[in-house]
Amino acid sequence: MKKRRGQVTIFIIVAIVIVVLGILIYMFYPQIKSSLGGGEENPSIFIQTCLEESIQEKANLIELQGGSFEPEFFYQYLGDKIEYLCYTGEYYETCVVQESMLKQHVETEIKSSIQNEVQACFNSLRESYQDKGYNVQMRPGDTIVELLPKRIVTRFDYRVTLTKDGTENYESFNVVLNNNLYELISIANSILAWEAIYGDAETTTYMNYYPDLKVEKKKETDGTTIYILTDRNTGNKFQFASRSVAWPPGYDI
Amino acid sequence: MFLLIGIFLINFISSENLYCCEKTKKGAWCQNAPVGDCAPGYEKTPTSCEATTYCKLGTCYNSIDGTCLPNVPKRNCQQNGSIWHEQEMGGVPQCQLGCCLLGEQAVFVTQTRCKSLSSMYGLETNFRTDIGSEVQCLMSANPKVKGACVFERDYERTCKFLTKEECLAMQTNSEDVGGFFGFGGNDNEEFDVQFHEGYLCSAPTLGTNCGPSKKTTCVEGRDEVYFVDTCGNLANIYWADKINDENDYWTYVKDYTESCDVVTVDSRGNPTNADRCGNCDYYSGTTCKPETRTETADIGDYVCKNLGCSEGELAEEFKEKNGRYPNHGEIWCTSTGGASEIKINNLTQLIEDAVYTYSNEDCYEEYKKAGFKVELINPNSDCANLRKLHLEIVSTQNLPGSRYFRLACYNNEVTVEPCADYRQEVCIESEVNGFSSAACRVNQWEDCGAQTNKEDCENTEERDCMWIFVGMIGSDSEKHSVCTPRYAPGFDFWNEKSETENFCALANDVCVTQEEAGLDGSYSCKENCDCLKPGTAGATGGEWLDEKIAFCQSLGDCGYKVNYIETEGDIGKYEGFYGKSFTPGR
Repeated sequence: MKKRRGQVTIFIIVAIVIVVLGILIYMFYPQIKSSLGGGEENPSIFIQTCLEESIQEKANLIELQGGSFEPEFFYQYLGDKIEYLCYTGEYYETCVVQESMLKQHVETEIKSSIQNEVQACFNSLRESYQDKGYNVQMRPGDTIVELLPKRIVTRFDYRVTLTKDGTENYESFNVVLNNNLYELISIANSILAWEAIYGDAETTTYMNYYPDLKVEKKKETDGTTIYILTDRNTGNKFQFASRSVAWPPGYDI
Repeated sequence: MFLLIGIFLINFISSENLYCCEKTKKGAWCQNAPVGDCAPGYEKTPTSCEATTYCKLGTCYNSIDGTCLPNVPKRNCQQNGSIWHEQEMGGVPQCQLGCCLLGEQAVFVTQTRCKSLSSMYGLETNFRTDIGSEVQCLMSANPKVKGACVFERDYERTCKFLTKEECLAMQTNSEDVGGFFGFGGNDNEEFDVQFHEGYLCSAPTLGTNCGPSKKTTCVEGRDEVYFVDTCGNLANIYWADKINDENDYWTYVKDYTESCDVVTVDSRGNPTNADRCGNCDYYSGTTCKPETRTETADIGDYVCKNLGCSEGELAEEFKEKNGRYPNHGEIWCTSTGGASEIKINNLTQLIEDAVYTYSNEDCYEEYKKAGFKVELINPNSDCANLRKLHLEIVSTQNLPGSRYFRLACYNNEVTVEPCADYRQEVCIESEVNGFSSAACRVNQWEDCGAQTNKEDCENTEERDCMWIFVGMIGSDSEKHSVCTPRYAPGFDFWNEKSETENFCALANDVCVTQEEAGLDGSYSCKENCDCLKPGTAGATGGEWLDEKIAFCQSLGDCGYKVNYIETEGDIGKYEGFYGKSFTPGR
């Protein structure tokens, strides 16, 4: 009987410990993770984890806004500010390309949109390792964003030296995202060339060539056309505006 | 003719001097705009942008990734480090397109782009300038011949289905092979592999541990369902009849033409023989997908799925009209309420049919003289009926706000593409072998007013116009017909700057009647009595106003109309000004 009572007590104690641990994990998860040794992860993984979501978020916003983080010359479409990549304010005329190097422009936009987060993540990396008794030497460097087939690669040329029992050197850090923005931008460039020459682009041609691609074209009342390119597998979107060979109501004067 | 004169005058009165703004206040580059719209700090010249150095348009060649874009302002292009050419894209040597054969794929791009892609994908390229079209290029994509790559692993003879290059690479790079198969690499170890071109790993003659299985799979970038052997290698296209054909179908690599018939979609929207055959084809409307409760395969978990559209309101509307759901790749037209019938000839046909049915002798003469095809069928019918119908057609179609749309079914989804607003584009649809295709094309109504005969007016290759009967013009007793838009365009009549009023005024007309006062104070008509309201003493026809109304409404969003959602205009019905015009003494 005593034995049984002892067992019950142990069970109760174990249960209480589990509950308390659960509450602690719930309340202080990130801190617990680092103090329990979660921070022992490789600095590269630390940076990837820290910046991945942020880059993805910024890239998604840029994709919906015609390649710009803060569009300057845009068309407001269903709540999104969509940058004009080709535009003419006149009727019957073909448009003037507004962004001749779209891929490079998008890379620059992603880079500048994440600068604050990059700074914060590297500071966080420094603090994390200092808390663990490391001597951290950090020399900030450039950030390079590159759109490549099926992925976005962001390289941070930060030189980091960690010294404790030994010394570890890191010359640069990479964050790789699975994202087909490169492919969508290639299609967008092709559509832009059609818009600039003929004032229109045939959406079904692209859908015939690329089974996983959905191309939507929405002609607005003022002559603006919104193109929405969607990857059917991932749902990834790139949308942009163009105004070319617009028709006036009635006759233009 | 008077339509054209009116338009010319409008243009003349409203011409305005524009500047070339390097950048506008709104942020657009290189626009011809009023000087007040030019952004401070940027160049502006009182001339067209084409005449400036900074905004001259040309072809911009991006030497980094080898892409070319037309209509790029010179300064924008050069500021970005690209090379600007005055010529059009076709005239720039760097922008010449060719076929870039990249591994097993092909793309139609510039040579620099081809090199850039090759370095990105790490593939060898072959740039062919002798292939001059994109379709030809895509057809030239030549998948490398694969075969069974046989080797020993853990004292067992096994196989991988690879290209010859991949297989030989295993032999020459034993480290990679070790890594590839999960055991420690040894730089000096010779790895013995044999390549059997055109053979499957399941071939019994190869004596490997791989054999036929009842598993199937989809492959990225391909449409078909494939068998998978017991080692997980791809085999031939799924064909249930061949499941036990070890000595042929499970031995040799078969082309899709040597497999079962391509799975298409039948008239009821069901994939043909999909339960037993995996030879799906995107262009025929099927592709490999996991099986569902309704679409199942006899063997394996994948099936050729119909890519047609059978869900949603738009697909149902199509079915209502055509008795079936739209197939993958089908494109068709629709419109909001109050637009014309889509089929181009319907409107003219309707009018001609009307003449055919309602003609009496007077109408016959009138309409024949006006250039209509008429046939005297019912001499006792009322001429007014014809005019009423004529008016009805004009007043119930192409209403303010109505618009044409193009719908396309791709990958089980209907996409909606509006044609240009204000009915500046119409949607045209045609059907070949029961498969519909459609396009938004420009509504060619602008030169209708310049046409003076029915033949030119209704030349559908040149314009979208119709020849309508307008009866008397002014007090001229002769009957006339004019050429007006077949799809009346829309106007922004609510806009203060709109020219709608000037344009619609082209249908303004005055008919002066002479009436004689009787001794009893009554009036009786003596001259131009056709212009009098029906029922007025002495009125002989009474159609004059109806004809004017039809003419007015046919010009566009002119006169009294209800809009496409059946809301009435606020200028009141014609009865109002009809009465005013006929106030005695005016």
